[in-house]
Amino acid sequence: MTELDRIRQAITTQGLAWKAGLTPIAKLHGAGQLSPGVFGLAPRGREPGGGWRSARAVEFGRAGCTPLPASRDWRDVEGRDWVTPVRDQGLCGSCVAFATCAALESRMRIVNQDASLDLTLSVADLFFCGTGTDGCEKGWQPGLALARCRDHGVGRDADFPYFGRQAYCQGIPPVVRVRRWRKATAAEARKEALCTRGPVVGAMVVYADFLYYRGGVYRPTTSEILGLHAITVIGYDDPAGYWPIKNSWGRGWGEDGFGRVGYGSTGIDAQFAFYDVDVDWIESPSGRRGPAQRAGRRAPLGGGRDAADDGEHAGRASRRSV
Amino acid sequence: MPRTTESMLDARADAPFEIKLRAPGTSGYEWKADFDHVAFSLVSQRRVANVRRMGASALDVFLFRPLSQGQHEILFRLLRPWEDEPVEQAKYAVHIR
Repeated sequence: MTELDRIRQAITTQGLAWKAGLTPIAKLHGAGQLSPGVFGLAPRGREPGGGWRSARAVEFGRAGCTPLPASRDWRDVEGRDWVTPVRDQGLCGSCVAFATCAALESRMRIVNQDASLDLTLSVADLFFCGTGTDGCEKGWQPGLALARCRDHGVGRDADFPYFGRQAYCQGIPPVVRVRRWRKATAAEARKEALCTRGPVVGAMVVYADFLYYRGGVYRPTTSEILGLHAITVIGYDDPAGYWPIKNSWGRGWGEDGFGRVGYGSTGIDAQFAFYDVDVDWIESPSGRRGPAQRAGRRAPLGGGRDAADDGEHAGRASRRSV
Repeated sequence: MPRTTESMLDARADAPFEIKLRAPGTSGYEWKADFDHVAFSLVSQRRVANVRRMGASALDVFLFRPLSQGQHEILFRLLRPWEDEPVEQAKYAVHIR
């Protein structure tokens, strides 16, 4: 019996609602986009033609979240996709940097009320400048990554691309920074952060069968642990009982690179906090600011405590002058 | 072609032996063993995970039982279940005495 056979048998025996397989769904469906209705995902997508500068405000602030709706998925809020494309961490243990950059990119889209905002942050800048020469081996922690984003900012991917293996810091100009963050641990606080402010940095225990996940609401069938993994949580779904996540294993894994992790499984909503991040543009030396400030808009961000709230880093470095 | 490392190993015919390979952390990759089932049986395969830091590398530990004396080979391939090609390989020439 193969590993896949064992997993499939366990899914059936335990009455779970996810599919295990080897063939990427993206391959099954041609161009890589899920067909409508596959695994119950609603059709989603970006409006053709790119930029969106409508004067109509998007109603996804606090008003739309009081009381909290039964579900939220930032791939489809007001008919728009606020989540940037799935990327691939390759052979490096850089999941924390991918999860952090993905959350920051979505938050910048939301802050700027522009679902087409073209911002791909440099995971390489965050990870290799933040962890040194052995980061791929040692891994990282979200609190340390966010402290790095607060103290140094993060640059653009185009200035320091990521290639999936250990690299040396290149010192590129930052474009965004984290102002502060808070850790949400209670169920309602997690959902409130997701609903009102956007995707968060989360984490989970990866079990051996997670590599074979191809869709549905995941719950482990085995106790074999592969390690701890950071992901971006992009919403919640109370009726079906899962957290939609954006992974960093490329689009061949899961549901086109995304997944659905069952409430109460993998430690995602018990062992690990959600990091609710307040992010902003960094002013360039010429005084030019990003679109949010140019347009005179401010983010609908909640008040988080300042950084040293998780014990993962000692003290605060001097803040960059912006 | 994936990068391939080569190693040699001596083992006794009456004693199981372990091979440990460093695996990238939670990146979706795992080592898979290809070998002659007449020469060995795979007793177990387990991951020794680092559960202190997210993404930290781990060890994949394979326990083999020799079945026949002589010179044999075990090829380990590092790949993801949903991908066709390995990104790294480790070749072990095993002499069973």
